[in-house]
Amino acid sequence: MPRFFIDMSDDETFSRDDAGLVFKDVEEAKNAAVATLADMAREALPDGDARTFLAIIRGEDGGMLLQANLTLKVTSLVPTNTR
Amino acid sequence: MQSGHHGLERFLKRLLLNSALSEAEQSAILSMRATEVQVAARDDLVMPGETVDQSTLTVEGCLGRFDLMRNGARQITSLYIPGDMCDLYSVVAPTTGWGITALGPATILHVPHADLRSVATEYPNLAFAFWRDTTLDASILAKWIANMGRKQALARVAHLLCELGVRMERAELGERREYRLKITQEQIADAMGLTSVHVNRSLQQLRARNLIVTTGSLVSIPDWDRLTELAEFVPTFLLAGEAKADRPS
Repeated sequence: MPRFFIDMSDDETFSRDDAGLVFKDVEEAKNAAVATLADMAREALPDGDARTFLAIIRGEDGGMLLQANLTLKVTSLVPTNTR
Repeated sequence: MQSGHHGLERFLKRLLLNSALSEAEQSAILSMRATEVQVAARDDLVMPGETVDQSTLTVEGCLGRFDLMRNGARQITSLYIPGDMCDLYSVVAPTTGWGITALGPATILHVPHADLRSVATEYPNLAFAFWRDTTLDASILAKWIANMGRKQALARVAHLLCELGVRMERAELGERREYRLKITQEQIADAMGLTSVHVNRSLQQLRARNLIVTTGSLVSIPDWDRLTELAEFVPTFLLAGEAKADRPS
């Protein structure tokens, strides 16, 4: 089975994957990356009103195969002076 | 004292960590029948729901207790290192709610329930030792649930590395700051309720902060205090030196 390298960022920390993980195909790697983005969003502290979580999947030859983003955006619905 | 299979000697050593046993009690453990079996990585030794008449002792390698979802997904609920009797529970609950799997190539011993029951009946102090052993298992499980429910991935993975360090050291299989971990990132993920991607990322972060150094299967922890601080690791749940003095008098 092929090896995929999945770099992740939570806006604060970018972690480059030098070890890689084995998946059946890019679809399975994508599912794992997307599930991880959701977990990272759940873990994120509510500090600030916008945050983007990013995953980039690279193949064994180093070429980029896929990118996934998850954006968390908080918008206040009342005027600032009444908050 | 008579000598038994070296696997039984490991099991005895584990019991002695938490229980003071007389020479007769120690001999009784070593004289239990035991059948050695070599198993391959990912061999399922017991399936959830199966009825068993023997318990599985880890002699070499790493085993796991697991549950299986309908879609094939697994949750590993315990990790066992040499000296651990994976399913001592099954003596009193032979129809299992769990499975036992080899996480890598392993050597195991099958010990008949009849023998475990017989030594526990003859020596009530051994029944206490078994009880304490299964309590330790339940205590670790409770800690895992708390970690999975309430801790971030990084702290969860760090906590597991601290736990295994202390367990390896007690079993004299390594030191808490340096030991061999022969399980995959996928298996850590199955144990910690994370994706393998998240475990991979957490290990990268721990490495980047110099909290761990990994060389092949060797895990080194340069600064134990910093890692335990991050993990909120307090070893009390490992019941170190729990009351040795409850021998019925």
